[in-house]
Amino acid sequence: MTNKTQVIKDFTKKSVLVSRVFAASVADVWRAYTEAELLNQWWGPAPWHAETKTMNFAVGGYWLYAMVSPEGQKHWGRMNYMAIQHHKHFEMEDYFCDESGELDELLPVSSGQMVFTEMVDGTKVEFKMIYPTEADLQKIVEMGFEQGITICLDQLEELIQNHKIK
Amino acid sequence: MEIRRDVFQAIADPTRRAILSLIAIHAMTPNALAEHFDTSRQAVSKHIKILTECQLVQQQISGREIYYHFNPNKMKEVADFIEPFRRMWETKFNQLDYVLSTIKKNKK
Repeated sequence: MTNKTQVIKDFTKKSVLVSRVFAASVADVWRAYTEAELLNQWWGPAPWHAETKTMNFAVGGYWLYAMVSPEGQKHWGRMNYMAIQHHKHFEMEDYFCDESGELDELLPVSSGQMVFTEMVDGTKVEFKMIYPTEADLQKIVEMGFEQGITICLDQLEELIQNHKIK
Repeated sequence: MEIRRDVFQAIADPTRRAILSLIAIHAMTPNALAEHFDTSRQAVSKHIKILTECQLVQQQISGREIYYHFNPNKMKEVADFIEPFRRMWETKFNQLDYVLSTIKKNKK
């Protein structure tokens, strides 16, 4: 597999760009990004998983979901859809909130762009997140850092467990 | 206000990034470095001071000259920092690969 996840962090533009190519048609990838049942299956990075409370993929609509930890702890997130061009791109506002979708003012709000491009070998998706300040961007990367660390530790745990069994 | 000095602050400035890419090729004296910039020598040395405080630049005295060296180990901190973030997305995308393969299968 050469489909490597690329992350480009631009300090001057206060943005992070995450891009990846998927071996599937634009139509299928688009569905995976816009339908609740499909998003639930992948949006939460294991060991977390995503649970949709409400989803209305339309301009002015939003996706309200929880990131659920293995212990059942929930972090709520909301994505407001600002602009949609079918099978091409959509624009959103992304923030942390409570169960009812009320903004958590302590955490940064980002504006984002999800761009879908048809490639010879599949579909490229570019997700650009722009933050109001550099500190906000830093905070988000740090949070991803924590999740990433947990993933690493989880894999390590699994490895240790497997060795014990043998 | 407390002044923050870390690698991220260091590379947030375009001039400092330019300085780093210059000295990453080979060590340079303050004069040689200043020639690459339109700004005053003073401005360049202020940037150097910040880069030194962040340990991205090391100074070495050779005879009568000072040479600025790039410290790749410190720069690695930036790469290491972004790595878990990338890994988090990689995990999500691997899950998405699986979801996409099931969409395909269900169509058949």
